[in-house]
Amino acid sequence: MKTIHDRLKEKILIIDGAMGTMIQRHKLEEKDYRGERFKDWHKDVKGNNDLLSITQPDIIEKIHLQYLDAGADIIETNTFSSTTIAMADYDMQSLAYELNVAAAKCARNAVTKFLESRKVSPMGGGVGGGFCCRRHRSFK
Amino acid sequence: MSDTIQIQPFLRLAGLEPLVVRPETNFVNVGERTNVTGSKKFARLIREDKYEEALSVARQQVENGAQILDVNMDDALLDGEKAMTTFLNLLQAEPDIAKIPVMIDSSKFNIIEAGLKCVQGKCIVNSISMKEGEEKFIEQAIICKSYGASVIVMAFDEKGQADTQDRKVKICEKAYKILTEKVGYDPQDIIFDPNIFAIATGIEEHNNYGVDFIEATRIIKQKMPLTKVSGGVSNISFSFRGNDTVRDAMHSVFLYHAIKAGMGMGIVNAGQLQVYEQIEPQLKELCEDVILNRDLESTDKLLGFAETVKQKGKVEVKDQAWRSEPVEKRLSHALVNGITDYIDADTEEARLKYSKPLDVIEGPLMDGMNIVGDLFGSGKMFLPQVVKSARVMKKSVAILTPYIEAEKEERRIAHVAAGTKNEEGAGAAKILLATVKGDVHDIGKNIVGVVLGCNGYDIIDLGVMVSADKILQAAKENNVDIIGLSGLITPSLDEMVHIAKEMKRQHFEIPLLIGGATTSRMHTAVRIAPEYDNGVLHVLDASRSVTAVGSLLSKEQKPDFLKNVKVEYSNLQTQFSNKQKYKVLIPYEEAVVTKEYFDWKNYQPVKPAVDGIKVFKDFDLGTIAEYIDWGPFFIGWEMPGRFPEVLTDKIFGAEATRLYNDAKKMVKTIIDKKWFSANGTIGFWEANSNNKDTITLQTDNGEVNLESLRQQMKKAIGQPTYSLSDFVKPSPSPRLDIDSEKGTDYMGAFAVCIQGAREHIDRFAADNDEYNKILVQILADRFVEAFAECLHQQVRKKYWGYVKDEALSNDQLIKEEYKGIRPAPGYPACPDHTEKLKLFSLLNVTENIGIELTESLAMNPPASVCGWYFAHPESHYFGLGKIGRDQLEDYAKRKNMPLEEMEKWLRPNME
Amino acid sequence: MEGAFVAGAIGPLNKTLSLSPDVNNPGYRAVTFDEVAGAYYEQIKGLVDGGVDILLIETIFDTLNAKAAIYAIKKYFRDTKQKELPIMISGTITDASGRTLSGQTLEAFYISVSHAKPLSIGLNCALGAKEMRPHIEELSQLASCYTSAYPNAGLPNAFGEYDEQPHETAHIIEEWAAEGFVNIVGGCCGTTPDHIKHIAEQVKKYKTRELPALEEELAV
Repeated sequence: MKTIHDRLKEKILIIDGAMGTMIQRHKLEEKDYRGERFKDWHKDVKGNNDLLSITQPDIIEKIHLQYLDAGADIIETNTFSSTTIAMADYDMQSLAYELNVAAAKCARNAVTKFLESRKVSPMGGGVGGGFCCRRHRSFK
Repeated sequence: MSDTIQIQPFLRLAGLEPLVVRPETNFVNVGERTNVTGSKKFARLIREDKYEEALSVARQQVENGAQILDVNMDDALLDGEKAMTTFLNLLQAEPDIAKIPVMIDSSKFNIIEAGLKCVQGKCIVNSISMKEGEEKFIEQAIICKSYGASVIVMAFDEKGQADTQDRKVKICEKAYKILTEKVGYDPQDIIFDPNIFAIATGIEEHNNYGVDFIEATRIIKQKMPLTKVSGGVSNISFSFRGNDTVRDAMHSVFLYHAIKAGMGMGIVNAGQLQVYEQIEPQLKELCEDVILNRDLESTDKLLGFAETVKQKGKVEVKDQAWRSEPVEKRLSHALVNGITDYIDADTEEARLKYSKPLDVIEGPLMDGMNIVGDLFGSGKMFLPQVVKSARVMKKSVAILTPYIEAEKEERRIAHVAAGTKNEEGAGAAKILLATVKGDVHDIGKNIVGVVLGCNGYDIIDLGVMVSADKILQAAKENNVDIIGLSGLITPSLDEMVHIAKEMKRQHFEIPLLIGGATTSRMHTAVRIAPEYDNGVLHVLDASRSVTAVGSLLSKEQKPDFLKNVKVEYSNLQTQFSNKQKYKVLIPYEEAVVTKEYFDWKNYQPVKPAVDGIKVFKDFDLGTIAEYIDWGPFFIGWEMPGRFPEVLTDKIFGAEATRLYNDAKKMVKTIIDKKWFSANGTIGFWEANSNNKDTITLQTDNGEVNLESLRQQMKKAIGQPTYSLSDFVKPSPSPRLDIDSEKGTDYMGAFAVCIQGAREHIDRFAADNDEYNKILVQILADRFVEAFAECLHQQVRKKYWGYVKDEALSNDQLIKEEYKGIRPAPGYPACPDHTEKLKLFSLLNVTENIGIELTESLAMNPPASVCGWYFAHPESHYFGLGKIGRDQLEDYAKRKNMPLEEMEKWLRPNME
Repeated sequence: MEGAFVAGAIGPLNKTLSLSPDVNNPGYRAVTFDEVAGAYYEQIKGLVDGGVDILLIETIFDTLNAKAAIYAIKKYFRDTKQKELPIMISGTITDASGRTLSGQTLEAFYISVSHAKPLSIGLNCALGAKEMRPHIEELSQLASCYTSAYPNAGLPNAFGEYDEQPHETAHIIEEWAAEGFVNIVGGCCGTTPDHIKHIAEQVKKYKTRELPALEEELAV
């Protein structure tokens, strides 16, 4: 397989679009965010999009696939806030490492599936409003 | 598509802005004063935790042209890591300093790493070396690299610091190989310091140190052309400590040769570099001999010369030798040294010698003033000296003027008789100065006038309280080249904006200068500059005004100069709007809830001994004089520093002492001859707050509501939002557990002024004695402040009597260690000037002691102070800061004033 | 065969190293460099263990936070003695002044992170493509590495929503490609697979930006 350096010499590469916008479309509720594992978590976790890599990996993988089908050469893991510092908002500091591994796996799986199904006709995405990195606006 | 872009291997550094060191950069100045080992002042400020002032040292370096800021906190008495962290973090909040890259300077690597953790830009580490072996060197280099810093490598190995040319080059080459091959440094990120050592020490082995450095530099740059060579320049002249004339000359000569050899960067006092060409030839020659080691005797010769320089300084006072020089030399000597004793006779002698009286002014007098201007511009003369020079100049001109006028008249008559046209020369550039409408403060403006006058400009001073119409009309009539506006109180800012707008509407083309205590670069950039397109410039002080005016009047410099100002101001505008975003205000209602609460239940208010109003006429001046705070006096003369330390300051201590003696002498005359009359009034009333921001006074004429403003900035948890009303006990309220049994609370007010100064100011002005004019004016200010301080103490001990046994020194008073406060309407805690109207009516100020209010609510005479008295032991001064529209609306409603008018008065706190 | 790459996204944190959260105390910091670098170190470990191909430090509005991330990356690969993964760096210009939130100009920002020896340097978030254009042009002149740009779908409307349509975004980005400003393009807040599809179609007809020549000697 070609390296990223090889590909960059050949063409303009495409990186994917917003993750948050696409998650919103699934209209997830508190219980969806919690999943089975965090059903008794002592804090609300709705809005913790990075948690979905653990609790709803299928959704995350599917969004990655949509972007790959749209023509993305590079997809970004769902780890914008997966650090001990940012996860402190949800008391989930201890999950930081696991979130990153899980998110990387969602993306890896998507790439594998995409490459396998390459010959099947690509599907497109839709239109909608969004949210992704605006979270950084709230300083502590 | 364009051709391939080429990227050159330049050293690239960054603060908030980039610094790319290109070959044509020639030499990069690294500011050295923010170094506790090199600057006593900076060390003291850091030790005393005065970081705000320490930042001003950094700012000064930037303003003096430093392109990189060297920061060093290596002091045995300091926690170096903590000091480095604190200082660099604070520095990040000052965009005008943080714009340049930082050089983190320490001999301790833990301090360096602490510094690296605070700086977002790309900085320089100063320094690492192989003194503890190769392994340690590599380890430290890797750490520096992972923070993205360029490094200075000192030519130092396990055998010690390299002193010879050969060792210097060898060590640098070895370090280069390690850094580029083992650590992965780019060559352009490597800077060598091949050690500048002191020469002319009397030890023969040291004589060649200058040459060793210069020659090592040449070879290093040949072998490793992408690297830079740097060094601490002042080391070279270490043996001439105390003799700045020789030291400055040595630095210039050394740099001249080292830069030619390839030295691209150096740690220097950016404000003090002398121009190589202008070094006195004999001194220059001797310095070259010493630095280039050309003459075995050179050290002795330079030492001999240094002695003569020292002696000159000492005998100056009694030396009358200048009296036997030709008249031109005598005039110039009198001007430079501010001596008026012989000016009448010398002027007369010159008038008789020259064919026309005007030639005396344009010849010897202007020559003398040019010397003064140059010395002042290069920091070798200080403001009080310049003002004295101006006094000499004015006296001399006054003697010549009648003759010049008579000549003009003769010519006019001759022209009329001959039927020809009278063409007088265009003359000097004209600068119009005025204190704007509603404002009476003019000390700063007068100083600017004097300094510019000294530099050969024709000054048209319209005085104080001048309306826009008058200013612009006079500007047209006199065809002036620049308008300068001054103001001290906040409403003057709006007036300046108004004048700028008017200048645009009336199609003016001349530049507008803005100055005075209330003005700022930021306000000028954000509010005034956008209103007028042909140049608006804020001038910080008199010294700065000279260069600014010079650039504005030079056809060649003006376009670039204005362009730079424009860029700078538009950056400030952006910064300002960015800052707006961080300044988080909380809703007014919320601010009221997070107010400061005192334990009112256990508070026992003290009933004032004076009931109602008390007036003081002709208060004893001798008593007042004991309370004078001399610090601001020296600031007024542009000699910053604490009193009394300023008297022993290395640079201007001697001049400050002379000034202090003159001032003390005048204070004595003021007291003995009763030049001033000190009048004041105080009053006290029962008072309660409404637990919000209104204080209600019970007066003989019924209730009076005083309105106060409350801080609205978002604060850290647990920090209250202050308002003056919090210091007065709320009305009885069962809910707050406040009962009336412990008695009602009280509040007071005062107004004081110094009268009689005007007469002496005018007298000195008429006598062309600018020095004494400004002196008496500044002293009137000091007296009135001292009066306020003195009266406040008597109020605490006697007239209100809430601390009957207070025993504080003057120093403690200046530091405000007393209980209770006396905030003034129009100042940070209560910036609304309009409350002054209530104060004036409560105390019947105008009738009782004669202070009048202008339409901008400035007090006349200018030496006046008024304020409120609060007695609560926890009351304290604070700055209101910015407030929100919600509070403005509420406040306007409370005061029953139209919103627009209220906003006008509070605008500085709104934006 | 032509693959696709997974970039491990490293975001900016809700606490910053160059700005004080307390307006009355400009020297205060809510977090230390070591804490930030430590948090990033753990994130990097997770991303690498999960199998990413690239590490992407993005939405940088405080350069010092990004420097802590770079520090953590360098340290992680030194500690584990693995070959370093390529690093992409993407800053955020917060307004028309062309500066980051922590006050740096674009060039100062680039210089301050260039020790990462990144695969690419670029911009994302905060601005729409239209507003981002002058900055991406400037960057394309400065950068010795590849350049990237993934703007928001325009600026948010009154409801905080992004309504720039896929063809609109793609149209602006197409011009960047034609000018040779970019090597990597995509979308940030408000963009969708449809935006990406339009962008990909528009830019595929253009050549990628040519890397600048790095001089090893000073021109005389």
